[in-house]
Amino acid sequence: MAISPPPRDQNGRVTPHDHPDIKTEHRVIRRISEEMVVAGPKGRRVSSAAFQFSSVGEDPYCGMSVDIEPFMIADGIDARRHVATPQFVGSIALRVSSLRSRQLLVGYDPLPENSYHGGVWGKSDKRKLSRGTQRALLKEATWFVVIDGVALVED
Amino acid sequence: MSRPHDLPDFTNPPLVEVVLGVQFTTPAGYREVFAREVWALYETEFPQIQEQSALEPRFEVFGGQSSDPSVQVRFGVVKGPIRNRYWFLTRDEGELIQFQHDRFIHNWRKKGDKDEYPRFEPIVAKYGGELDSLERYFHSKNWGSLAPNQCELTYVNHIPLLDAQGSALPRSFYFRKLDVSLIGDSSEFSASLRQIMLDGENNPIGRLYVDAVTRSDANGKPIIALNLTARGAPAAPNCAAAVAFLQEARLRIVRTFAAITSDAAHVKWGRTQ
Amino acid sequence: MGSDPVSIQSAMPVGSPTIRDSYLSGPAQAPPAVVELPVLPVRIALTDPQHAWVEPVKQRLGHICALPVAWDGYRGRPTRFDIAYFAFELLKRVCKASTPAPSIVPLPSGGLQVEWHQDDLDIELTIQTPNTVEVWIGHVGNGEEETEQSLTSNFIFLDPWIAKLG
Repeated sequence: MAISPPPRDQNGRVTPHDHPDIKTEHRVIRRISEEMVVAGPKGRRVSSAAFQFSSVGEDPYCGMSVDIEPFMIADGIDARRHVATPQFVGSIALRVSSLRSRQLLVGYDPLPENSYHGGVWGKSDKRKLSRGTQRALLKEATWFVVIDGVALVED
Repeated sequence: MSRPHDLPDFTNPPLVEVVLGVQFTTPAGYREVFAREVWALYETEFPQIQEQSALEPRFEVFGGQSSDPSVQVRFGVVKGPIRNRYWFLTRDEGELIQFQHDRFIHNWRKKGDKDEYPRFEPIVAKYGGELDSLERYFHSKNWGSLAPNQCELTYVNHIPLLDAQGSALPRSFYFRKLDVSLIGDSSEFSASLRQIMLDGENNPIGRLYVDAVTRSDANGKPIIALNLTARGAPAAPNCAAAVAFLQEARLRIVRTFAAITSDAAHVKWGRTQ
Repeated sequence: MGSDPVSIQSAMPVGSPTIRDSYLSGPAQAPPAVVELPVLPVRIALTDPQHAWVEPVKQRLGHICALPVAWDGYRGRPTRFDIAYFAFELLKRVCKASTPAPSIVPLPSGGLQVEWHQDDLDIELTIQTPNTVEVWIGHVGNGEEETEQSLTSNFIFLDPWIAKLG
């Protein structure tokens, strides 16, 4: 699939953007490691830390990594195998509309090791997702590659 | 920086070592091989080098109940590089810089009876300059600024327990409000005090540790080793704030030293202020 | 008991096990002019409180410090050793012997998040660097309430919340 290149800064880093080829009805996949599972009173569940932006020291634009499902589908890639490689982890799927309706940008950020890598950024200087937003996103997400016995959010 | 006019002062204090240190965030790009380049920053004055095992991190935190001393920490095996601590020494070994991936420490040590303590003001000014050199080096590697997260100042005092004629002095001679004579002249004693340092708004900024223990000095003579250490986080993660903490720590240490030691000891040490 | 020998070495003379804290009543004032004799050297006594949270926390911190790069499926780094140490110092200070062990989640940046979740109380402490702790507390007061606070090295704010954990 021919994807328009993302905007970059003078250091070659992808800058926050909404990519035109990522539509609101599309889904992005967020990988969830078993390390992000915590104990709750009703059993195991995914920590709010699963939706943390990067710190400034790590990424000056504080993006959150995702995989772009429509790009994988267009290239005939098995998305479930892709997101569980090379490190097996679980993953959740989120509608792009869930993110953009919350003033979040969803863009394309290809990496040498992952050409379907994307980023989610806050607009302007909003570099932190509130707990309310983190929990709401987990509620709207569905398991893509399941971690057995783990709920996305407690009722 | 000038000496506060009301700070206790002594012409001949029992001070044998002053240690100034900062702990900082290890730059992401740091590798042990860069220690050679760090040494080069100071090599002219510190031409000798030794290796030691690295110090583990240390943080002063506050709140909750007092830390249970039986709750010690040792993590399991950690993957990653083996860290060293490097000693850069002057030719006479009177001063040394201790450097590791997250620490920069300068020790001044008294070498002999005639060696005079150079006073805190020039020592801290020199230390500030050394920190600036290290920070310029960090910038030259694109590692950003030095980000101190803890500072520490220690004064080490060796107090002789024999007078000039070689007669034993009672261990309580040097301390205010301490008398061990009721239980005889015990051959050993040790004492510890720990206090929280507060700022002007009663917020904790650090801890002051006072430790006294009887032991022998390098010549085998009986002494009391009296160490005062102030440790805490700088007000901001930068070198200027780190130096400011060390300056404040010095005030606390000197005032505490004067407060816990006796008037008779002050006469012996030539108190002038 | 959690009484492994201290691994901390210091070229700077550090005091022997301490006896008490006392608060200075203002900046740079002379402290009480008393030097205390220690009660006894640290020893294991049958009546010492058992800190049940210590061992699981130590093991968890050791584990997340040893995670491989890309543990999260992206570019996540192992937890930084200094952040793990800071977290442990924080927990030593705020946890009682009876405090349940928290969950500890690594962050891709090398930080970590400490969490407790009970029926009416959620406590999350996000630590991206030492001396920087973002606190979030969800609790049932007048309905569901949230409290947030940024802390550095003073964790008195946490005391009443940790006490509710048991």
